[in-house]
Amino acid sequence: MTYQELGFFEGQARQSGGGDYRGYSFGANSDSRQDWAYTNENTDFTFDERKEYYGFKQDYGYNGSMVDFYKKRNEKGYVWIDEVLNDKRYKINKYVNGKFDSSMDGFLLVSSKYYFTAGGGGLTSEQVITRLKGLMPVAVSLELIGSAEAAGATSGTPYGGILALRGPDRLKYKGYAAGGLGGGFFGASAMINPMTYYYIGDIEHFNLSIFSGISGDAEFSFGEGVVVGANITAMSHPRYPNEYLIGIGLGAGFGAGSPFSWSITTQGTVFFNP
Amino acid sequence: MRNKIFRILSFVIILGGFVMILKLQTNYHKGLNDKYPLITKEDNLNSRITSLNKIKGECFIETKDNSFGISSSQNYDYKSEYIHNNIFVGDSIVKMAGSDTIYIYGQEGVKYFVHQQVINRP
Repeated sequence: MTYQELGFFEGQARQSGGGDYRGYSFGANSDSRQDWAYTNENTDFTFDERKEYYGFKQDYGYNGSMVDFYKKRNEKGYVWIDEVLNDKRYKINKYVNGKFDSSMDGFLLVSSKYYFTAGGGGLTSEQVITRLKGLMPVAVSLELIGSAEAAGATSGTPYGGILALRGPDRLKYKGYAAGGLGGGFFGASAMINPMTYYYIGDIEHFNLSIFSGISGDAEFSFGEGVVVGANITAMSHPRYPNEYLIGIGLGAGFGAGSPFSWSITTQGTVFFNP
Repeated sequence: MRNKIFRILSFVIILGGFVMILKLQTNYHKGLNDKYPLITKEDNLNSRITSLNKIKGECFIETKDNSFGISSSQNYDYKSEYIHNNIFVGDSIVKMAGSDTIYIYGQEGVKYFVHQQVINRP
């Protein structure tokens, strides 16, 4: 269900509210959703279950976003977030048709889907900023890769280091080693390979511990003399299997071997637990 | 010609292997999550750990009574701040219902963590 499907339009809401959400009518295009319940004023509570509409954690929980809940069974209501207290707690005020429901002595939060107060080109500046953050890498790493190819290929990263930029481990550094097997030709190369990592999921679930163990990895190095390579990595989160850490990088270095080594070497890599 | 075939073949094999490893890994993790549901704030725990599987900072725990999972939690008061480096088979794990705090009674005494949170960061 989208925000529009609910029959709400931010423009109308803002106009009728005069810039203040308090007391305006949400029901311009809705049918049976006129009698919404609401919380007691200044009630603090914790959401037990949250879902993200656009997939970025940063997209929800900003001031003015809307949450749905059930006051009673089959009695659906909506409230608006006035203030984000921290990551999980929000200050909610009553905003339902300008009426106070005196029977509302607390409520049971069943669902907490978020619907955005603006969509498409109508993004608030806060939404734009949070989305830009979602495109920023969560970590960077630098690997020193040595590889040898002789029909079969082996590679090793005697030392690599990863620096977390965001999440619970922000600005923490961790060293690691990696090794791989693959296919290639005659030759040897050494390469420096900087990588950037993106976390597909809730950034608070990313920490440096995820960057260990077995992972899928492919590395393609070309040439002799000067070697260039591309590297991609993907690791799934053990607790949140649909969340992934994706890494991409380009490397350069020196190679030696026969003229045949002007060919692609592909390798799969295992990241060792540091 | 043989070189070209070998080149393309190795590329396809490695790329396929890449996707396959990721898929297998994801499926394995999904199985773990089914078997070891993440503890909730309402859970009440007071058991000795009989089996412990640590994967990338996540703990998949078995006790005499049940199986559950603990997600990454950090307390910078300890030498290694991650909970998975401070929990072992034979330790007792205690958590009161309504609280996020996890107590681990082990050989080094009692240690505490707040589930899925970083505390005492310097």
